[in-house]
Amino acid sequence: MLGRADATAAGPPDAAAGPARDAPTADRAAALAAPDSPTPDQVFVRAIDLPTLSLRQARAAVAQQLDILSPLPPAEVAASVVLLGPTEEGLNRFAVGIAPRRLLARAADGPARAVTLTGDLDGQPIRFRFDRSARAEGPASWLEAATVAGMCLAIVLAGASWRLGREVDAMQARADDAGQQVQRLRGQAASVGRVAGAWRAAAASRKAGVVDCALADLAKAAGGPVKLARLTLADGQLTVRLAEAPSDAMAAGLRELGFTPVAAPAPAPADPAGPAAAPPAALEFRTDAGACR
Amino acid sequence: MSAAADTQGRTLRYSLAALTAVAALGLGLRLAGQFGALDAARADLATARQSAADLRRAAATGVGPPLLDARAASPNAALAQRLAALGLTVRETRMLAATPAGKDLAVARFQADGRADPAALDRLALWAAANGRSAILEQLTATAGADGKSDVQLQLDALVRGLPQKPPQTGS
Repeated sequence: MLGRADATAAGPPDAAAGPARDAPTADRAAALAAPDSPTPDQVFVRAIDLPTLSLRQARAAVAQQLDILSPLPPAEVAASVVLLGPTEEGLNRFAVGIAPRRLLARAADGPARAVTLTGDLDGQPIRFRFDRSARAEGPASWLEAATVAGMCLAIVLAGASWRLGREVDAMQARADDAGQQVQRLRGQAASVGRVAGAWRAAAASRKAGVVDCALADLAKAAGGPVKLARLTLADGQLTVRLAEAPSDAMAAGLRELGFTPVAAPAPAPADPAGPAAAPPAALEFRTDAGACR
Repeated sequence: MSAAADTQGRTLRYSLAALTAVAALGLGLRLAGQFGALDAARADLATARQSAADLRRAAATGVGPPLLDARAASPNAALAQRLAALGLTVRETRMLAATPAGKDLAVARFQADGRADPAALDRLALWAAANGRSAILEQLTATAGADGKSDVQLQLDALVRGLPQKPPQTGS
């Protein structure tokens, strides 16, 4: 088919008579009606004169006037532009090759992105390079575009995943640190709680007010100041040792006021066979915050 | 190009497309999982911070108000000064032990030796009862002397603020 395209490339001799902008719109109809109108297997060649050397601008101009230049509907053709050279009017002449897309599709056997076809302008063969458009390539091109889009999406997702992974790691590290801090604080709080519990228990059982209460009760029971040999406050209990043995009335008064006599050890009898010695009078009395009144 | 090469190229294109789709799908799933993990980590962090704030508040509350401030003066000297103000003649005060009891707060056990008359002993007991949230009179021994005063030895637990980690063992 490529050989066919090479062999049948043709173009009307008067196509290069003037710039494309001067070509009448009736040319298309004329071309279609002309005996040398291109068949779907031919490359149609026209010449246009443009005031530019840029192929890109020339392609843009051709694309804008493709409906004028092409003998076939523009949607069914592809165009290629080749610079021929300057004209006497100071313009530049370009050869425009117009090939049916069906011809390109048949000529491009394989995944090639461009097809080179040879056309003929005024007996001079010109090689045109046609890019296969997405429309011409059909589903394969769509698949490639989708693949590229998918790759881009995958790259974006990979970047986001990498960044999110770092953020998750950082967040988890912070959460771990906070968890360790909570553990440490929990230990401290438990320690403080234990100390507070012990403190409250001690404060409840060791009331210092028992000293004042006991001293007042001693004076009350003795009917005046009383001389103490020793005063001991320990474990919430107050123990007083009187300097002198109390009278019975005082001992009874102390008992009424919540004091408990502390029994002194009985002395060993000198003669085990003799009569037992009388127990000594209690010198020590004990009370606590609950008993002291 | 031969038909085999064309088929091979087409197969490659489809394979690449499938691979890309699988990769994008896998990355999307991984991303979704990471979002879940991030949310979970955020929730954990918020919970831990809340717990830490609660525990800090509890620790800052401590056992009770401090009786002595170690940052202003030596706790031994401060206690001796307090006892002297109650009428005791203090020979020596010593800090026997200390344990943390809250933020910048410690329970310290002091031992003091000195002399005091019965009225001073009574004041001491009333002072300890009045400061019951900050001090506990653990032990008190008063032995009468010939001059009407008593030799006094006492052990007092007190809350102290700003106590260093290793408290001094002796003082005056």
